Amino acid sequence: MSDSINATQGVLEIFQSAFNVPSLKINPQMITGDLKDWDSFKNVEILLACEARFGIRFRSKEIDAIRSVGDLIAACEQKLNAAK
Amino acid sequence: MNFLFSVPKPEEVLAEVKILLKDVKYSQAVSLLRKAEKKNIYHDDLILAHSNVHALMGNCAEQQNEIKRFIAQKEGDVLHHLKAVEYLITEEHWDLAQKLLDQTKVRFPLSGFTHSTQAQIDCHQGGFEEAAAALLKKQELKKLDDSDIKLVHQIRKGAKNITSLTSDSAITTLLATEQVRQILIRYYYERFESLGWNCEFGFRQRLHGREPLSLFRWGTMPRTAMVNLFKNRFKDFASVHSSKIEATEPTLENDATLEYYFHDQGYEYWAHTDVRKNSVAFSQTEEALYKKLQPHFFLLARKLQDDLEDAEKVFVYKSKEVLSHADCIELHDAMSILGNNKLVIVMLKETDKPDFEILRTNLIIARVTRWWGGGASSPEDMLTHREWDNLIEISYNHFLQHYPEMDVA
Repeated sequence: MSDSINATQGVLEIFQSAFNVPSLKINPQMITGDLKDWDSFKNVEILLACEARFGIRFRSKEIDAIRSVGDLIAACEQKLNAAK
Repeated sequence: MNFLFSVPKPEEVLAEVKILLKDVKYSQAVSLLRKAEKKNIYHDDLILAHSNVHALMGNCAEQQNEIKRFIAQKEGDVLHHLKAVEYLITEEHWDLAQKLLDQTKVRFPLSGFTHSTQAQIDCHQGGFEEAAAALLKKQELKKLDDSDIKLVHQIRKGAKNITSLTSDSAITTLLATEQVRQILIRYYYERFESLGWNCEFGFRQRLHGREPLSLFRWGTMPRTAMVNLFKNRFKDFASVHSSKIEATEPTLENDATLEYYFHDQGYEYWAHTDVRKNSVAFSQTEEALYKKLQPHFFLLARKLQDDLEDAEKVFVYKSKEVLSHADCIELHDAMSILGNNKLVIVMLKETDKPDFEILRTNLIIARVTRWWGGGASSPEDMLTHREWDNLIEISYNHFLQHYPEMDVA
């Protein structure tokens, strides 16, 4: 499976688990506040889950650059590519 | 790559074309692109690459035909037209880029994007007055937005070298507009990070469109503990030996406000967890809750340590107590152990003290009339907004003089 599909599917599952909604759908344009209970606390939880799932570590400036779900997926892909 | 037996991806073809162009093997590049086309490998970038090969071979008519073919794919999409213009700019085919842009402006007269692209071409060619005029046209269409920040910065920088700037020039007019000021202020706020007391600065950033990751602020940590945190390079912060979660006393009569706080005893740090005691299932022990929450604070600390080591942001330490110069310098010295950090310490005004005081090139004290009450429209709140915006603008520009690398736009 490509990194792109890996990251997209992984981030989707992380969101479904974080919001406890197995049928949750996400799209790249979504930003904090677009879902109920999506706040900065939830963002920390999502970031930690991404780090654990993909075995990556975000630097602070990489976290700051993540504004949307699409940015998060791209950041995970980039990290996965860099690890190769 | 063997095209006879496999169907390559467009990006693979493109990569190979780039290598051939680098080696000045233009005919082979054309041949490769034709083969790809015969195999129905279609991609926008391949058509643009094809046009570029023709340009390099001196076939201007063929180059323009390829551009027309590209445009025809999505003729009704202004961004598609502008993609071709951007490509021509990247390849430095300025005349053709301008010609295509002029056609696009006629085709899409109400588009704001065309004016940004015009400003981009003008800036590239040193025409800052023309670039400003293009952005003013975009503003007239009410389409100037934060995506134009890079162009606004280029125009500002370019304007510094123009000695004959008049009050009615497009540059002066553009930079004086409230909308441009707001775009710049938002950009400045993004370069700052809150360290000090309470959530005020974080909320100000939120007002300006930035959503700071952490609403667990560092504001509850006493200054002396923060000095130790930096001197110790965050050692043992949020460690299992020194931290725990504790339910606080209700702050209101309603018990629903009883909240778990994360408490690091070593650094006297308390932070919201946003977990209400009555929302936690009886079966979930505090230990299990701690295990879930502790990594959050570890991430927060790691993030701040990264920022201090990168030394790219400007830190804002809002102090509710009046600090002496020695206190300010002690905090700044501790931060400087991790990196060459820039710090603004914000305090309330004192008699006979200036609004701004430069203690070091990378350490400023700024004084404000009052703290923000959280409102938006009372005259007092408006004063606070103006004071903060002013403070951020002055601080940013002060640091920019000494650290030009801060300007990433």
